[in-house]
Amino acid sequence: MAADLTLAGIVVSLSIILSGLLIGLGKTIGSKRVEHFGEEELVQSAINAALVGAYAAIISIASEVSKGIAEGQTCVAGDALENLQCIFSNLSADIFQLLTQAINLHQIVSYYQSITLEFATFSIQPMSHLSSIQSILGGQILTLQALLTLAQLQVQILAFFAPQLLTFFLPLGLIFRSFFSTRKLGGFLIALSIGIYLFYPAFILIFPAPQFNVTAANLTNLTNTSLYTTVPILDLNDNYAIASRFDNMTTGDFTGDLTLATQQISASIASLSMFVMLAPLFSLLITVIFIKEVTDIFGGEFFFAVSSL
Amino acid sequence: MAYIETLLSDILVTLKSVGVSVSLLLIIIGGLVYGLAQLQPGDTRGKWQNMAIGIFVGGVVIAAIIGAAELIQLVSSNLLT
Repeated sequence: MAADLTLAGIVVSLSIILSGLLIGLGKTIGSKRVEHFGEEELVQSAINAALVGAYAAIISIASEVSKGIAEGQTCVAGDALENLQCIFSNLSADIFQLLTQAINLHQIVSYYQSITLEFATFSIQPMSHLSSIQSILGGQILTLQALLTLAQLQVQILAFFAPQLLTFFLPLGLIFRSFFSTRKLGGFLIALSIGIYLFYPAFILIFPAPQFNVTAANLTNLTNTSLYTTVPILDLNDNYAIASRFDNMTTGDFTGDLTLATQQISASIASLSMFVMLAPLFSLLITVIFIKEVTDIFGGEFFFAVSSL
Repeated sequence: MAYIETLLSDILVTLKSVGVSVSLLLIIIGGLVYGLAQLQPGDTRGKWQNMAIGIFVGGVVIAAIIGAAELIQLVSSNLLT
């Protein structure tokens, strides 16, 4: 959706004429207050006309700066927001792959942990110690699921804002800023569009993108290795077949491999949390401060505008 | 959006014509008050003259700004480019 700047031009003209009337009437009735209000409106109208006139230049400069921010981390040819959207999109796919492998591993662990060998006089559950690893994996799967949701949320937010900021929010801000009663909201919208377009992606892109290819490869090897594949259903009645499988697993150091896998998943989760959770929060904080400061410069009032929205 | 644009354009045209009328009216009233000021006794004449000049100047300022509105907008819009 693109806002039409003709409207801004009309509102600026309206504002100039209104300020002329106010100055004239102020002089007529001898009211300095009305006169000063008119003068201030005239100055603001001139500033608005300048901003509206420089709209194309502002967009061009913002795009160039944004492309400059994305340099060195190019995921797609485009500005910083498009690149960030692409990075989060790819990251979502990678998280999903890791999640799938963690679920596979969790299934294998749950399977072996629950197996009980029944003998004539006693029964044993040789893998009962895996319950702790099963719990760890369960927690890690939930965390990965939450991180996947957050990454997808970023993709959705960026997909919404990327095409709207310079073509809708900025012109709308210029239109609202042209009129005295909506000036505060207009200033806020201009600051919002510049802040989210430039600052938000810039402060996320300074964080290193998480790399967990090694973890994914190790998990694939672990879940695909013949030593740890689940026992065929036909053999479940055969204690010796199961015992032989357990023997194989001891050779392969099943518990050791699982411990290593949980450690690698933890490292991946930590690196993902930093990029998917902490980086956007940090960037949002900086962006909000920037928006607040720029809102003041553009004659707006941050908390008033936020409450108006 | 087109509706708002038309509405604002209409308001602009109305405001321009109202402004021109008000400006002319103030200039005429200013002249009249100045004329009447000459008929006042010496101790109040200055007050009437000041009022007349204020009304006249108000009318001139309105006419000047309304007349130059498009020029102001045009010049301002090229300030940053």
